[in-house]
Amino acid sequence: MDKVKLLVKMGLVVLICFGLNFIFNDDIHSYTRVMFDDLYHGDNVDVAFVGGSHVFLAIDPEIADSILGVNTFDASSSMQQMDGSYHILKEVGENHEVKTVFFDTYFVNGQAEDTGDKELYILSDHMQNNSNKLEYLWSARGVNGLVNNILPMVHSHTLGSPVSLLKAKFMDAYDLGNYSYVQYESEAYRGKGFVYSFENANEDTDFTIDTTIDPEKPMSDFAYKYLEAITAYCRENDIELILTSSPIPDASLGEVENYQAYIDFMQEYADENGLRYWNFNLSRPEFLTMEMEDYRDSNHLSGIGAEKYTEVFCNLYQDVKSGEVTEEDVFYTEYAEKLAGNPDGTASLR
Amino acid sequence: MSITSFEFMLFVAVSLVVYWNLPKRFQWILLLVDSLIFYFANATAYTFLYVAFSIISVYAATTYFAKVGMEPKQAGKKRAALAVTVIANAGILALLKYTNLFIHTANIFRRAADTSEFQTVNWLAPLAISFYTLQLLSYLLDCYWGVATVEKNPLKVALYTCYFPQMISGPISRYSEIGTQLYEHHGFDYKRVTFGMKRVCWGLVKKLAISNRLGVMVDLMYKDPVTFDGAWIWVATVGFVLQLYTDFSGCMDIVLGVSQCFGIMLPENFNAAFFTRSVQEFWRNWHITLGNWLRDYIMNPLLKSKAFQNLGKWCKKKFGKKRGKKIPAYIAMLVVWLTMGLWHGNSWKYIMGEGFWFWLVIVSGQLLEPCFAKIKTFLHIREENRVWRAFQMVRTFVIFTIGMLFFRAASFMNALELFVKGMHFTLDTSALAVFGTSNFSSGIGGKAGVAIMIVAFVLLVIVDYCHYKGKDVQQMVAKQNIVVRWILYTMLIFFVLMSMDVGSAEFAYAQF
Repeated sequence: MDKVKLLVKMGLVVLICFGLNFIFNDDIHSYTRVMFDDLYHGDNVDVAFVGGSHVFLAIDPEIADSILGVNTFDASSSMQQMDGSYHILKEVGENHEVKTVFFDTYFVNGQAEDTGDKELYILSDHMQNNSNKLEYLWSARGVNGLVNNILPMVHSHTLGSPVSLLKAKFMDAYDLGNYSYVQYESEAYRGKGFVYSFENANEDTDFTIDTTIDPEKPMSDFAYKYLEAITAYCRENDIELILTSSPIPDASLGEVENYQAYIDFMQEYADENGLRYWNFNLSRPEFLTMEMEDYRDSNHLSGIGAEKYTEVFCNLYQDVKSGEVTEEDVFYTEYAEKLAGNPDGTASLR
Repeated sequence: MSITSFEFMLFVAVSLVVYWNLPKRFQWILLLVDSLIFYFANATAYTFLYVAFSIISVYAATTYFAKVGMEPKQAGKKRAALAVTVIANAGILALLKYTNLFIHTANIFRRAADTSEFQTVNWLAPLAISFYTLQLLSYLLDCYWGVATVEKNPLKVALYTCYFPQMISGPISRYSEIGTQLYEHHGFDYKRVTFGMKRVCWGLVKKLAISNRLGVMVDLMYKDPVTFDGAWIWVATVGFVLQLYTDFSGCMDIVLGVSQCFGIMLPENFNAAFFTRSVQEFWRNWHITLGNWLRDYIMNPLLKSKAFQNLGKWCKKKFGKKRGKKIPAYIAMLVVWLTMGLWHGNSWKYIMGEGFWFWLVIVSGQLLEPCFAKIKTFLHIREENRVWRAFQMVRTFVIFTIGMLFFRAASFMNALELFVKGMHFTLDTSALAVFGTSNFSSGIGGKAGVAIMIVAFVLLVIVDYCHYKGKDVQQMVAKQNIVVRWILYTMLIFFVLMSMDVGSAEFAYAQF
């Protein structure tokens, strides 16, 4: 009898946890939630742009759709590491017939030895419950990851009043296509994963990126493992994979030690695996020159920059496909050459 | 596998279900298996060799004690066996934990002599070495003195040594306290199990809702001694004292609560220490098991030793009966306090701040007692006067806080530097701007986090006051009606869930 009593009490504790979770878990102000809603309920995704915030702030699918004539999508989330990119790619692959994947290989993510709680749960909290999600959580955090999946309040609770949160949840917060809870003064969700930033960098922006690259080992084992996994997944599923790097201000990148080693490493990897590697930080001036206003901060594009970059990016894809241009026409091989030949609007701040 | 993690809770839950359903004779074996799983999940595997050596050596020595019994003829050999075992085990502890202290100290002289410095070492110590070594030594000495029954099964000695709840931060249990409990049958006892679980929850509140948040603040202040200068140093140190208390006592609540669910009542380590009125009384209520260990296995044997008896006689002759009697006690106390400091870590800051400082305060207090008595009489202060009692509590807290400045500082010299800076009682309020930054705010969970910390802290004060008054808080809560009880439980669960992502600091005594 006592054991039953204990079981009942434990059940009550579980119910309390779920109740508190419903009240305090803030999942309505999340770009990733609406991005996944769009992914799961939208049209077939033909082209996916995969990566972290360097993707969802840089590629406007509306522009991409009009140039490429297919349905494109930003499968990206804040601080998304390589493992996150692998699992979001699988998520896209299982729900859509993807033909092409552009994978942003931001060099800072290439140095990561692990995935942090924030980046893990930002993504996993809004993925549908399936083996891919459980595999992601288990590989990153074991039991703790699985429990966090059941009680996301643990890592994602409101810091403000739960009353307005609760009200929104009961009204329209979860309505498909309702982006009103992901519109802010500085940036706004625009659909299909894209976030438009209204902010622009200026002379007072801090352009520091606190990362150094080991020339002997330009990519961590963790990142490399998932880069290989992404490559293998695309190969197995007959998906065209193109490795990319979004533009980063020269004021930031020019100060990163051994960045060239990372470029060389990625190029070598691409060559070995028969892939294309498009690093837009190596762009020739006739192709793409970024200005100060094109950037939002030390490593992201502004909305203006995103529109400009998306257009150039998609046109390049069309041109390369049609054979009008080759990578050699568009990109330098050395970052130093690019800095000398095509400095961006921030280069003078180095 | 941190004891605040879901993994640990799941581990305990599964173990409990198996434990309650196991036949009587297998329950202790499950505890041993659990302990080994816990050890290997938390420490580098090869470090278990040290633990194994300690268990085997103590087992061998105690088996020998049991064999020779109290035969006077064998006393010499017995003493030799004891000495070898003590030296071997204390030697491992000293070697793994204090080699760098010796190297650092030697390097001070080598620098002065302008010779090359020794390289420090980076040896991995077994999990909880400072705790289990003392525990094993207490068992060894108790067997030697014939006050404990020698355990014939080495695996049972192994369980006593590495019983998993206490393999993080103790408490330092005696064989006489838990030996029998560990090996006897424990059925399912509703009250005991639910009380244990509630205690675990309370421990989580202390650690996650209060300590981790205070830790974020204290770290911020200690990392920036330029901004947090003057009186801020003391504000930060008071914060650290509260952080340490909620950390360590929270850890103990989790450990004792988990153990209680298994039916094993471990000794208490804290008893409302901040309501005590003297440093001596404080240390009888703070880290109780360590204080008792030092008293029983260092202080008392020292005072009973021939050398100290002779010293006592000599002092009485030289300084008179009254004063001479106290000198050996003060010396023994000095040894105890320096050991206490050394036990806390391989740095002079512990030896001076944790050890020497408290010895100095206690001895000065005793020497000046007649003067204090005269002042009290002159001022007509009654011992039981509330204001006087409050003053004594504050005084004790201040003295403890000074000691903790050394504990928290980076080094002994850094502690002195901070102490001197802290003497400039300036309080630049512009420093508070740091707490307004978004990094800090998200680090402690925003305004909601601060509110949770404050409410939890108020609850803590109430609970500790009840303990101080000798009341059993769990019983008091159990007597409330179901609505009040569940509102309280919901609040505690809420505090825990809202605090699990704040910081992730290890327990302060976890690396000991």
